[in-house]
Amino acid sequence: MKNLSEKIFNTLSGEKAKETTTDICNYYRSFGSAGYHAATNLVVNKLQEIGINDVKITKYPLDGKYTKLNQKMPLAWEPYSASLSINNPIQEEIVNFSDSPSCLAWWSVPTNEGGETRKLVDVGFGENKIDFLNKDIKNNYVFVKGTEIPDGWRHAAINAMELGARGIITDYLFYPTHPYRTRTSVPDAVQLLRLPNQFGKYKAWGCSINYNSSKRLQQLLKLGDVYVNADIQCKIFEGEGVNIEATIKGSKYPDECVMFIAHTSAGTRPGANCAAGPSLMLEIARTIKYLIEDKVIKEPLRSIKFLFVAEGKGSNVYIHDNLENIKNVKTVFCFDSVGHHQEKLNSNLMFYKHPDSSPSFINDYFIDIIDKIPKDSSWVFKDDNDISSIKFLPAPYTVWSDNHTWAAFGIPSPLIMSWPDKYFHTQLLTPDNTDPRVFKHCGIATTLAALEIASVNIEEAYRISNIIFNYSIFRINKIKINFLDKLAEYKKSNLNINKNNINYYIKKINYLAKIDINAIKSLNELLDKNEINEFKNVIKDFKNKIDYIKNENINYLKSYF
Amino acid sequence: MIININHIPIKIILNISPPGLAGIDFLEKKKLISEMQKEDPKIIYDTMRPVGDEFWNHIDGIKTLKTIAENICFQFDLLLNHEHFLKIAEGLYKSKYIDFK
Repeated sequence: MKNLSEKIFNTLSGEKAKETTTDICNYYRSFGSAGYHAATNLVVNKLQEIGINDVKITKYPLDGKYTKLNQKMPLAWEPYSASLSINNPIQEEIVNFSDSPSCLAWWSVPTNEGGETRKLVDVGFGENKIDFLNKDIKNNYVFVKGTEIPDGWRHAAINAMELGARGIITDYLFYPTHPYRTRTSVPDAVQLLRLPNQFGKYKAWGCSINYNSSKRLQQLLKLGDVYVNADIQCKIFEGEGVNIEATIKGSKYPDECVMFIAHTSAGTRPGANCAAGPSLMLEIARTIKYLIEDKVIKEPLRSIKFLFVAEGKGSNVYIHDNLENIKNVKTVFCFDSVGHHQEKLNSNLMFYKHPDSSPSFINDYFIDIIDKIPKDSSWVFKDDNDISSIKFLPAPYTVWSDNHTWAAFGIPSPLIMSWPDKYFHTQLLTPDNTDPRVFKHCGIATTLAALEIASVNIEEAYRISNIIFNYSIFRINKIKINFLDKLAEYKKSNLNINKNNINYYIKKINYLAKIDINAIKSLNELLDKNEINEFKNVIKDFKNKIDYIKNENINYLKSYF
Repeated sequence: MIININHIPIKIILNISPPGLAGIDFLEKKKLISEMQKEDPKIIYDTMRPVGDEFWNHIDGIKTLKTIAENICFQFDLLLNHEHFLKIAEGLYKSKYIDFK
């Protein structure tokens, strides 16, 4: 185990992943745009350089009609330029695309060349009908004040466009994280937005501006009429999405695979968060290819696949087209911002778990992997590299990227990304905010896990069952500790804990035990028929052990009835 | 149809990406969340994203709405009256994503 992780450590280069991230960040990568295709071609060329020849390319229309998994594909969209200026009562530029490519909302519609000057109407948050009442919205521009709810932007934009607004200016900053990412702590940040116009219904554009420009505009709007010139050049059109599926074939079960997925699309330029995913995937592909070719490791039993997609849409296409055999995908590691510089961005590398609706071995197994991989510092009294300067933390299931589509099909689909993200989807998220050490740390953990899962046999399944069992005992006992904490709180307040309170803890213990037993059972997906038969006894044994711990704790809680 | 917590939902459309809180508009969602926050102040608007996903993922034609709500509350450590989840079920029913046994 340690041997394999050390081999990966000696081969995988965080610097290479950062270099590729920097290259990809040169392109604006909205769905179907020239930059998106350039980034996708860059990936294809790198795969050729690495020597991975098993590459399947699937193209699909981004035309607002083509449907996969019951979802229509959006139209493609390409930005060229954007400039907003106050014309009256003063003359002053508010924002431009050259300095802040994140200013122009996806699926905006262009103005006339040279721009259009219209009145700007303040609609507050734009969430309620009353915000628009008796205001001259039709054929004018509106200013929407940002809130802390990202969905509020979408709702306000629809309200405005339904009333005929031709442009929307806003100072939204999504996902604020106090104190690092707030409107006042990152005043220059310009948030990438998506106009809810992916099917081209409205003739409007959206632009976000920074905090200082927003304050300026709001002051002027309070004083009287404000006129803004908007020169927006972009294209909404029928384009194309591309899936790149690269495969390192497995020796025994080539049709089964462990997959990595990331997107060559991105919210904006530079978009170092999104670019990090495909870049690390290429480095992992190079590492595995090298280790196999140089006979440092054996070929894994199952294939290792690398799927490069347009975020979300590519998964819909892949799953739809492979629905009958989708269970052959044994785990999907979904990458997003896997290289964030943790000190610069106040960030952590996060392992967002697979959801409980389809209990999986992956959650506890991967926590164990994070614990085991080589680290960069040592305990003061031993030279053993057991302390990591890179924070890599587990957190509950998070709906964010392609992971949620895969999870819905019961495929173990951990999401690896960085959070908090000080510059998330703004022009400030440049590649110099990534860190080779973080790429490497993430790369080692996921490569090791992928190679192990790809070669799981009954012995390995037994080892993983023990890991799950170990964490299960911890979790169940932790509920009892939570109960004792609550009991102490009640006693301090001279209150008695009631039966309902106790029942809550009992139910939670039952819930956890059931999830954990099913997580062990999920290892059956990695075994052949004979092994499954043999593994039945292992499952039974662990079920008995977990039930024993469960009952012991429940009986203790019941003693307080 | 009046939906209650003991109903068993079934999916009408299979093999799709989770529809989230389909059938509940933005202001209704805000209202629902503000009611939930009275019981569990840790809940924010975006808590409903994983909650919505898991609500859909749990629908298997066996679990009642009560069981689904209970599972979700345990998974995300939410202290909520399970009746709140009826609103999610109503939205999915109205949008023709689910029916009931």
